Formats: sequence, C-alpha cells, structure tokens
Amino acid sequence: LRASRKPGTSQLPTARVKKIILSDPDVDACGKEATFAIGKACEIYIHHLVESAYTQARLDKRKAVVYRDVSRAIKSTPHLEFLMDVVPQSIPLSQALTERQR
Amino acid sequence: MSTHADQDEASSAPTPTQLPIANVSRLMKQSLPPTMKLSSDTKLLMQSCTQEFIALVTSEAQERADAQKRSTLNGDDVLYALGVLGFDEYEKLGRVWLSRYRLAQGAASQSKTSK
Repeated sequence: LRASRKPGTSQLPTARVKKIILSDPDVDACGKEATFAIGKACEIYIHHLVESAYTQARLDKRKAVVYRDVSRAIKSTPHLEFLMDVVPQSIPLSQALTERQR
Repeated sequence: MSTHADQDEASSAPTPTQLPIANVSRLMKQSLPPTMKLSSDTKLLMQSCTQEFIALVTSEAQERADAQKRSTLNGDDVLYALGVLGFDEYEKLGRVWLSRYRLAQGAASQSKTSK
C-alpha cells in the first residue's frame, strides 16, 4: 500500500517542527509521535484561527483577510491569552505617548 | 508608530526557527474560499502565533514528562498538554491522529521486516 509509506502525514515539515520544539532549553529529546502530534495540532490551530479571522473579514464585508481580523479573532477566542504579546492591545495614542515618556 | 518595529528587529537579529511561510500560507488558504485574499502581514502573524502555540504546548508537555521522570517527550505528553491548556477538541482529535499514525507506523515496520 502506498499509504504505508506516508503514515498519517502532516503538512508541516517534521524536521522544522522538531527543531522548534527542541529550541526550548528545558526539552532534551522529542519522540516522533510528539513531533507528529504537535504538527497536527498546529494545522488545526491555524485552521480555526483563520476561520475565525475570515468571519471578522466578512463582518467588515471585505474580500481579503487582514491583520486586524486575526487580531480580533485572537481576542475573541478563549485560551488564546498567550498570544497577547504577539498582538498587543491597541491603546489610545495619549496613553502610548505617556508610557513612552517613562 | 511601532507597529512594524518588531518586524524590523526580526530582520536584523538572528530569528528563532520558524515554520516555513509557504506551508503556513498553504494551510491558511485551505481554510478560506478560493476567492478570499490574504494579506502578507497576516501570514507573518500566523507564523508567529503558531510559534507561540508550539512553545506553549511543548512547555506543558515537558512538565508532564518531567513529572514522570522521562527525558523524551511522547505523544501522550502532547495530548495531555493540549487538554490542560484548554484545547479539548485538539486533544480528542489528537488521539485519533495518533492511533492512525501508530497503525501506519506498525504497517510500515511490518513491511520492512517481511522483506
């Protein structure tokens, strides 16, 4: 069977996923199953986030998904608080200027 | 004013390993109708988000491995991490993927030994 040559394939390169996992200083070694599982989780994660961002784009009646769609999708999805540093909260200009002066 | 500062920093400092933007982009497009466009900064953002996700799951999985005094992360550590972090659906799907993966791995090694 051809299928047995590509077991439960992932659309992300295994070596790269493994490299990212191993870049964590606390990680010594990562088994193939773990690499595979994280890779698959990423695929689902991207899928859900993009779906959510697409909803935002449709609400604005646009034909392109843009940065703020993803930003809004993140803010409206539970368990994605860890992404707050990646998409910082937009704060009023006056507040930003005040913080800059500190 | 500082919206693109992070990207400027990233181009001059050594960047951490990232997933290839082509793969990320392809996965993103698969979740959209073909007529929908994607801005390039969205792809970069998704790349960063996925990076953070991997880091988070890895960290949690490593804690479980540590607690069980193992030095190598395994599939169950990852599934456990997904559940603990609130990605319950991913944990359930993960069990299915892993069982298929294990079946396929078993079949592959059987075909090797039969030669």
